[in-house]
Amino acid sequence: MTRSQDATTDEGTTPSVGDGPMLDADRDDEDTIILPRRDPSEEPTEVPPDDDPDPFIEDEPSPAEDNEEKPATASAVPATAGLERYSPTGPIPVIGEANPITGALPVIGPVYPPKPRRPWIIATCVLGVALIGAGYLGWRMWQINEEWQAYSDDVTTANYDLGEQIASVQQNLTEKQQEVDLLSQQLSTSNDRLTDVSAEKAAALDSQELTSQVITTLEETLSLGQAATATLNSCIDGLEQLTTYLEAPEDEYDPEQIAEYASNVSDLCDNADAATVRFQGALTE
Amino acid sequence: MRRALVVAAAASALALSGCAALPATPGAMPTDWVPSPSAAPEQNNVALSPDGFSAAQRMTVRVRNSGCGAVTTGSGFALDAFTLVTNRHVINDSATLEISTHDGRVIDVEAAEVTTVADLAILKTTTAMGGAFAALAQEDPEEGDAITVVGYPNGGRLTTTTGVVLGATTDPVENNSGGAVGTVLATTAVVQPGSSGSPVLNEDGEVVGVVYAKNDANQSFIVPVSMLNSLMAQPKLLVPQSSSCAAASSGSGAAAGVN
Repeated sequence: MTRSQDATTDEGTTPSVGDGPMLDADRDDEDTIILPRRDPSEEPTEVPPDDDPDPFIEDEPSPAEDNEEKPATASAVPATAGLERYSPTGPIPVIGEANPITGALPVIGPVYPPKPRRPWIIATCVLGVALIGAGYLGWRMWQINEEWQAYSDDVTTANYDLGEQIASVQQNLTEKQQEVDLLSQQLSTSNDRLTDVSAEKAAALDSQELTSQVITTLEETLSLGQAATATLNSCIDGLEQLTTYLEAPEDEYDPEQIAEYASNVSDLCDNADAATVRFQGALTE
Repeated sequence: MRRALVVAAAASALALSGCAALPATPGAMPTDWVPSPSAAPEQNNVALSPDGFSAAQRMTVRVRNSGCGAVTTGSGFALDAFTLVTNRHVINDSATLEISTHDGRVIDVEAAEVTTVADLAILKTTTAMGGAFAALAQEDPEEGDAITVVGYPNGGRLTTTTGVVLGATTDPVENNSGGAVGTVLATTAVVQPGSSGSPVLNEDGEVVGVVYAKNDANQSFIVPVSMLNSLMAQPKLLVPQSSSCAAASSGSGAAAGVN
């Protein structure tokens, strides 16, 4: 950007494109430096480099500049042109004829506005505080990291101890489970055997009881047989004696007594028959 | 420029706010890694057995009827240490009665009581039977319920069989010496002579009936537990059973007592 308001001459005049014809009448021919006339159409229209030392500070047009440039660019520049970077397009408008400038080449030096320093101080302070805070944070996090690493080591050691204990307990549990399985199998076998033995014992007791009853029955039968035998023997003895009485002489025994004896012998034989029947009946049971 | 300052200040504030997000330092290492139990183990005494036999097996006994020139056997189950239940026809015509426990112990029976309303008898022992005791259910089983019968079929070893309830029916035993027993239940559990008096248990291990008969189709018949409960609630229905060899009148016909 061309800072036309900053360009001053030694005489304190301000060069202006519009002032060309008026200065040409006062120039001396010897001091006149004839500048080659340039055809605006042949010159490049690139934007001159910005000499603004502070690109973050927007340029504030001065009221004088506005007053001087308004007549020349009133039709091309909008009212807010002073707040924006001037980017001319197309040919540079030339008003009037260009006349050679005589005299020494004017030295134009930049004039900058005073730089605002307070934002930089504030930013420096804020960044300094942030740096201190970041440093504290880093130191504190390093400390916590150390503590967590130590804690992790302790937990790892404890885990290994617990893992060894668990392995030992698992091994012990496996052994105990095997013992339990073996004992359960033995208990099942023992219970089966106990059930069998109990059944055998009950059956043996049944047999014993039944045998006892059979023995009792046989004893009763034997008793009946003995009784039948005894009564039969008595019957036989009576019959033999009766035969003796009957074979004796007639006057030796009283016939009535012989008849009574024969009756008694008959009763004995009847009893013997009854005993024999009971005995036979007991045998058939 | 101001915008840049605002951004820098915001970044600084954000960086400093990280102080609040610093991780905490680790706490002290725990000294005991074993967690405390969250619940006490259940005391399931029913599943525990001192000798490996189930409660149903330990409460079931074998009844020996000695007398009148014969020895017959049946089954029964303990109600308490000195009382057991069996069938009436099991103790008929008995001179002496003995029971054998699951572990082979023999205990004498000192008294017997019978009833005429059902084929049931209550026996009293001279010494304690030990083992487990029956828990009587409050309701009869329904059709389709699963049952388990524990007894001594054929007077042999202790046996467990299973089946389902077929439903209620009238007493199938002809010339039942005890008279009508009312409605009984038919089941598919296979029983044999010697199973009479066996307890019939439901899935909860409660006694829901007493086996007393079977038929040729291998169906078993049980006296429902409601009858037993009524009998226990009305002791007047029980009369003492004399130990004599009276005339036997066991069931016969299509269905018969299994003794």
